[in-house]
Amino acid sequence: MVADVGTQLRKGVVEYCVLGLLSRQAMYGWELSEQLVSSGLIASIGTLYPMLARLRSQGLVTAYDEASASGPVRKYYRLTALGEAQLESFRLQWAPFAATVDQLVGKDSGS
Amino acid sequence: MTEQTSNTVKTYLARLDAALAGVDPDVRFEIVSGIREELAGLDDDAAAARIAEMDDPALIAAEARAEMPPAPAPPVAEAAPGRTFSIAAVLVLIIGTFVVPIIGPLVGLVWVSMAKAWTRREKIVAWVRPFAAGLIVLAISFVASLFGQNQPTQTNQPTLAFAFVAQWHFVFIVMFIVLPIEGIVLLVRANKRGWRAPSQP
Repeated sequence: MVADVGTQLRKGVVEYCVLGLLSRQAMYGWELSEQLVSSGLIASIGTLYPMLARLRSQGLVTAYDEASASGPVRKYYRLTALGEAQLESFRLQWAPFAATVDQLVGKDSGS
Repeated sequence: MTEQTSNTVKTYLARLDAALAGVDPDVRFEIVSGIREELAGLDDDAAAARIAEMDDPALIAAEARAEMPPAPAPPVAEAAPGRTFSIAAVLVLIIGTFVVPIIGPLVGLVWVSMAKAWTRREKIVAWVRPFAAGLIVLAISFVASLFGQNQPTQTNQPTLAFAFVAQWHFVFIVMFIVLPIEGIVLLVRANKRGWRAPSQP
């Protein structure tokens, strides 16, 4: 209970944030890592790859190699149909969940 | 497209790979590959500048380890059922023979029969062996005394009485030897297989 609240919250949602990012476009590892690190959701790329491995093993994400004109061949990640469904399910639950938590936690009344 | 990997990149990737020792091999490969992709094609200066922005390999490895599922706990060595009782049974058999003759080994054999460290066959043999040893000794003594009776002596009666007592003493002495040895054999055998009787058909 004393554990860092931010860490616990991030752990609960970061996989869905990856699904959310990949739902917009396929991304390569470094690109994903940059986005998540800058958003404060992961500490480094070391966190990302074990997560991607989990998402792949669950069939939510798939990977493919693509050569770019300017750069090297990169491994890109994209959502599967199952990943899309999972993300949609999360979206449906997130808003009412956040609203409920917000209502319960409320604001510090100061009294 | 042929790409020269700069020494700076090689060194960083080698450090990263070494730091990732123990991480799941697939994840380790993915992390190193992902960073190699990012550094590919850069010359030494550009690579050094890019690497300076990156996290330390030790930090990346620590983060990767923290994300990995915890290793399954090693199976706890489950104590054999009734291990203490089995040890007590065999000790009573060995020590009881000397401390409380007859009753001691008898209790020891009963406990051995109830213990789970030995097979049914071993338990039967444990009972039969001391009695069989006693009977064999008795039979040999009896045969020997018969030969003795055939020898003409003037003091036949006292000799026969002495021989009878000696026979039974000899049987008891044999019991004192056989029972502890049997106990030691049972102890060693059970200890070798973790105080569990092998599965019986």
